[in-house]
Amino acid sequence: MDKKLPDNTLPAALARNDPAAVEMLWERYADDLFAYLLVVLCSRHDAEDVLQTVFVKIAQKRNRLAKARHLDAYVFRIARNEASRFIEHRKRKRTAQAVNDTWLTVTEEQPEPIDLAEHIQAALARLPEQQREVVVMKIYRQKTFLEISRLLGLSQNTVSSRYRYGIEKLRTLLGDLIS
Amino acid sequence: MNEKDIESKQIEELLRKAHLPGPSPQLHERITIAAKNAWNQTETELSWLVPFGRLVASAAASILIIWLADYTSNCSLGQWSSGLARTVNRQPAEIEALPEIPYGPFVRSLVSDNRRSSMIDASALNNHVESLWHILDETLQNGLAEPSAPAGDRSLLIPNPSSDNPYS
Repeated sequence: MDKKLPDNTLPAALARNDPAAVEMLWERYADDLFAYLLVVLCSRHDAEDVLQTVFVKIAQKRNRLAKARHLDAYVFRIARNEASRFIEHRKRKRTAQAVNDTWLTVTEEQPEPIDLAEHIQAALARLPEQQREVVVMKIYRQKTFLEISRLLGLSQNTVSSRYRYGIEKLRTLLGDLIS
Repeated sequence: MNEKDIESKQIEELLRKAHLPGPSPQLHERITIAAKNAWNQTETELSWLVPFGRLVASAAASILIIWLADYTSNCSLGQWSSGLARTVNRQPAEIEALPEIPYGPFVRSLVSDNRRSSMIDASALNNHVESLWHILDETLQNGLAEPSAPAGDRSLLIPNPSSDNPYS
């Protein structure tokens, strides 16, 4: 999470019922939540919609949020619930996610950047959701296992073992690219 | 470091060549507007309202459960209770008559008090009936009773005051 804000600034703004807390929430959580939703939903468009729902929910539940013992975990719990609800909704309506939806990009210096992005995206999409979220938080958001365990409400051992299994599976899926 | 670890490192490096896009400025604007609207539309919850609501709901639920239990009990036992003779099992109330209770004197005295309070006070009932007889007797002697009625035609429902009082 963004550490630009002191830890008590956001809860204090929430407790004061100060609308400026919305901007603080964005500064602190938007990047992490968006990354999380991208890899869980595997669709940029869906991630944007769900992120909006998450922020609206946070605004509505601001009083509970102000009293939450672990603010980051509470916010992430809202995001996880909304993502699960969205996936259920997608299953019920039998609408598959957009096949050509690109949610991972590669820097231009790489040779054949599009292909590499597609390969990595496809490989990540084949991971179980629990492993995928840990791998992405670790690799792309530079979180430690301790931070991930706090965010997801899991033990550190569980997080590290999920990461290990995820990397092993990616080694099988992307082995051709590293050889 | 074995081959497996080396390959894992290589996979991590490969994954790091890609990156996840952040939210766009348009998305930022759209979401903050939506969140601020939701913020303004949502009433601030009163802090005591939620626990109070829960308390009321649990009290109402407990009353409903008790009422339902009472109602079903009455329904199920009603067929046996109507029209049948009731048997009263009278238990001794004196402390000396409570040898079956394997506890100390304090518990025995509690049990004794409890049983005594649930018993009908026979002497009080007797006094009450006697006072009723007395009032009735006085009323008859004062001539308020029907004067034309012969003694033989006296209603059998009214007992003769001179007869033996079963309660005396």
